Amino acid sequence: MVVQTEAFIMLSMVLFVLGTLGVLLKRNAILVFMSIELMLNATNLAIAAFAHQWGQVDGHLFVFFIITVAAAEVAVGLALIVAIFRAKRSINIDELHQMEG
Amino acid sequence: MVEIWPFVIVGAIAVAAAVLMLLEENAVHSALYLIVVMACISFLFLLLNAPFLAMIQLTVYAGAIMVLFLFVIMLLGAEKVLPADPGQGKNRMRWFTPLAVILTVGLLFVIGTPLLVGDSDERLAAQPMVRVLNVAPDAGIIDVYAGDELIASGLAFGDASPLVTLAAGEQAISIVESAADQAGAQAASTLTLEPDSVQTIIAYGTGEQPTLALVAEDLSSVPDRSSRVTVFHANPEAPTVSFVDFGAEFVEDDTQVLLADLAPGERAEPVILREGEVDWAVVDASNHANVLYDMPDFEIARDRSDLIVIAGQRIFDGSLRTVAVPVETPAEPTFGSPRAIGFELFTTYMLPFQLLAMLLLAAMVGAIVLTHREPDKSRRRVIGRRRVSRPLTSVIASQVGTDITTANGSPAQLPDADAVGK
Repeated sequence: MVVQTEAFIMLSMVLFVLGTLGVLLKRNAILVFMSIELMLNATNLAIAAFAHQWGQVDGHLFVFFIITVAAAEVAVGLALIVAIFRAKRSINIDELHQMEG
Repeated sequence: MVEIWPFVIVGAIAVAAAVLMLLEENAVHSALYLIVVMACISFLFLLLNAPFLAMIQLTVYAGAIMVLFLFVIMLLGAEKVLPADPGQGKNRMRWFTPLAVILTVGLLFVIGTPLLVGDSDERLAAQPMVRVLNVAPDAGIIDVYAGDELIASGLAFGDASPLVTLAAGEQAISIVESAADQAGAQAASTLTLEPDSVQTIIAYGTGEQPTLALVAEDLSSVPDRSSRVTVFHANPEAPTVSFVDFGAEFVEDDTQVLLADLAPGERAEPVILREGEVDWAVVDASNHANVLYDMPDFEIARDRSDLIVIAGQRIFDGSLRTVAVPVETPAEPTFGSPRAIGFELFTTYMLPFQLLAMLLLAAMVGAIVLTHREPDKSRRRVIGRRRVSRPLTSVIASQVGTDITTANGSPAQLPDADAVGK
């Protein structure tokens, strides 16, 4: 028995939705950030599945680019979190409702 | 195609690890569960014929990025985040949790619906790729048109044009002498192009009007360190031929027949050959001693899909000589291999790649700017002044009991012994 592309998309969709839940429900800024990474991974899986279906290597390039952008985003995002922690002594996102700098 | 059991097992592990990541209170444990998810996705990439992505996923994502996450969690001591202000925060945000769940279920529904109602079995066929090879001995230099579109120009004997994309279906191919009007076509023929194929139009045959033949080519990937060779016989004056390999130079009787009995106008089945030098010859099929064309030290490179056309060429006395014209084409790299991705990256995706490099540079600068802290100058000045402002005079003054520093901070004259009375 073989796996169709749909199965990969289903799995990717479930992981994406779990990531969304994490972004919406978690209070720890680092965990919110990790949930975003989970969402990115889920989309990567979907793109790779489509690339496999169509036999086009372009999808792999996009996944490669997404991974690279994610690396850059993590560097900047964690730098932001460290800066916020210095200012507020906390990374609970509930305490960040005032944009006073 | 992908087997179902590895997919089900690894997929289940991935979903379970993602759920545990969300339920876990400790951020370090969450990060470890996320690493499990990423390892599972890397495995799924392997199932999807993407070994390069699997490698990148493991090294960059599960390795580098997660190390960064764990480092920041431990640096900030953020394993557990307590609610900021339990009473007030909870009351204000109580409606948030069910709303988030409802929105997420809605998202699941919206993404899932097209999967269930759509049909995804038809794939679009690619357009055919076509090139032209001129091996007609009497045609001179030719231009080739498909309908009104010029697809090749200035082809002398033995020249092949680059591959061009044409619409599938019937195409009226006409050949004219170069720099002549299209109306004076030398040869015209209607050829049917199959979609998703690579075809070579071969103009051959003696006389002013060459014959056109359509030869389908296979440019799919070849095994390691080998090449594919396809032979087409395009010399109607020559007899049925065979392709022989003479083998090693000093070894008797190791001559092998590569292709037997190829009649004019016929295409042989492609053969896969290992790279290296070979001593080939085109011989008369009925009499192997009659060598029509000798190809000593013919080099077979790797990863190519070559077409060898046996043609007739006019030589100085006007007679036809049999020659073999090789048309070299790189074979397509294996799908998903680092080579295929590198090829795309350095051709089609060069500009996005460089933009990405700029983005990474910006991220690097951004990370430095965001976390850079100005050295605290005021504090250092205070420490410095204190050091300077405890000279010997102040020590003496504290023992003597007299303030001997003036208001502007400069040491005053030491008091006389008489005035102090000691």
